[in-house]
Amino acid sequence: MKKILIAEDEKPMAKALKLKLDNSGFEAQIASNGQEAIDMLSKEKFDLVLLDLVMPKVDGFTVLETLKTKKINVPVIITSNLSQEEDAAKAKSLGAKDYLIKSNTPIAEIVDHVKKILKV
Amino acid sequence: MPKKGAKKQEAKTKKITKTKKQEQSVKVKVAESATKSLGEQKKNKELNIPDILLQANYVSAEDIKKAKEASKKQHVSVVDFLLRENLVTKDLLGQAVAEFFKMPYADLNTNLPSKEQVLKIPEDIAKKRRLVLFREGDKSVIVTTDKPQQTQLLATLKKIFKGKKIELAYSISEDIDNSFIYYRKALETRFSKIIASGEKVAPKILDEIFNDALAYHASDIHLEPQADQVMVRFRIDGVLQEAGTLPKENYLNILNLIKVQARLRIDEHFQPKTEPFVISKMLNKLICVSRLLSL
Repeated sequence: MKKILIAEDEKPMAKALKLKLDNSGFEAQIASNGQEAIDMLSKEKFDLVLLDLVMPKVDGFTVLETLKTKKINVPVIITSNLSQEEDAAKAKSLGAKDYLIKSNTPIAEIVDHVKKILKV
Repeated sequence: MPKKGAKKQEAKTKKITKTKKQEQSVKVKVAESATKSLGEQKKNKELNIPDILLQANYVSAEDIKKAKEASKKQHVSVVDFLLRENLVTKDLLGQAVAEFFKMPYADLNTNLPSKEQVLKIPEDIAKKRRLVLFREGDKSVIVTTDKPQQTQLLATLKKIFKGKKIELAYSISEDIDNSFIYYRKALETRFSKIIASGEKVAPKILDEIFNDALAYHASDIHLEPQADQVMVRFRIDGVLQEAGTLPKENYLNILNLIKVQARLRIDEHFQPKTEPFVISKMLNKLICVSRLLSL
C-alpha cells in the first residue's frame, strides 16, 4: 500500500484528504506543520507528499529545501492557496512535481493527481 | 474548475464503491445505508448533507456520529455543528455536494464574479433558477447553481447563451446569494424608499449599508459628511470606492445610532476614538467604529 504524507495545517482539509486517500487504497498520515513533516519524512519512507506552503513553524518552501539537503527523494505535490506564478516556479525549482491551487482544485481532483503521479 | 466526462465520473463512482467493499463490515453497513438514502434523495430532490459528507468521504463516520449526538443535545443542525467545530468547511461542503451531483464545484467565494458577469442572466431568471454565470468563453459558458435538481435548466440557459456550449456547476447557497447583490438597486434608491416610509429610518439605512459592505467584502465603511450630503464609501481590496450618498438631514440619527452601539458618547465630537461592536445578532459581525476629526 502506497504511503502518502499530508502536510497541511487546515484541519478539515487534512482530514478530508486523509479520508479520501484512505478510501482510494492509500495509507495517508497527517503532519500539521512543516517541522512535523520534516520529522516524519526523516524517520519514515513515504511514496508521495502533499505539501501546503503556508504552515506554522516551518513553511513548505523550507520543507522542500530540507528534503533536498537531506537527500530525501520523494515526489511532492504542492497544494496551496498561493496563486502567484513565482510561487509555483519557486516550488518547482525546489523539486515539486506538481503545483495545485487549493481554491481551484477540489480534493477529489487532488486524489486524481496523486494517482497519476504514482501511476495507480 | 474540474471538467470531467460522464464516463470518468462513472469510473470514479465504481472505484469508490469497490474501495468501500474492502472496508470493515460495520463501516460498509453505514456506507450502504447512506447510499440507499442518497439514491432516494436524488429522486426526491432532497439533500441530506451529513449523509453526502459521509458517503463522499469528506467527514468521518465518527465525526458525523458526534455531530448527530451534539445536535440533539444542543439544538443545532448537524451541519452547523460540523462547521462550528471546524470538522468541515463551507468549501468542502460545496465540493461534497458537487461530487454527489457529479458536477464540477465552482468556488464563487474565491473566484468572485464581476457585476457584468452576473447581469448576463436576467434577474428574474437568475433568482428563480438560482443561477450565476461563472465563466464565459467564445464558444462555451459555465453557469453555477445551488439547485441542480431543477428540470429544464439547460433549455432555459440555451435561450440566454445562444449557440454556446453550456456546462453546469454547483456552488453553495451563501455564495449564490452574495452574487445576487449586483441585482440590488442603488443605495440611494433604497435610502429614498426607507426615508419615504418614515419607519425606523436610521436602523434600516444602516442595515442596508452594512449588508452591502458585507456582500462586497468591504474592509471599511466611510461616512463622509459633505456640504449638502453624506458620501458612503467602501474600501474593497484596498481601494476606496463610492457606494452611494445619503441626505444630510438623516445623518445625525445614523451617526448617533452607530455611536450608541459602539458605546461612544453621542455628545463627544472632537476626540478621535475606536470602539468595536457587533452590528446585529443576525449578521453576527464585529465592526470597529473609528471617529476621526475632519476639517
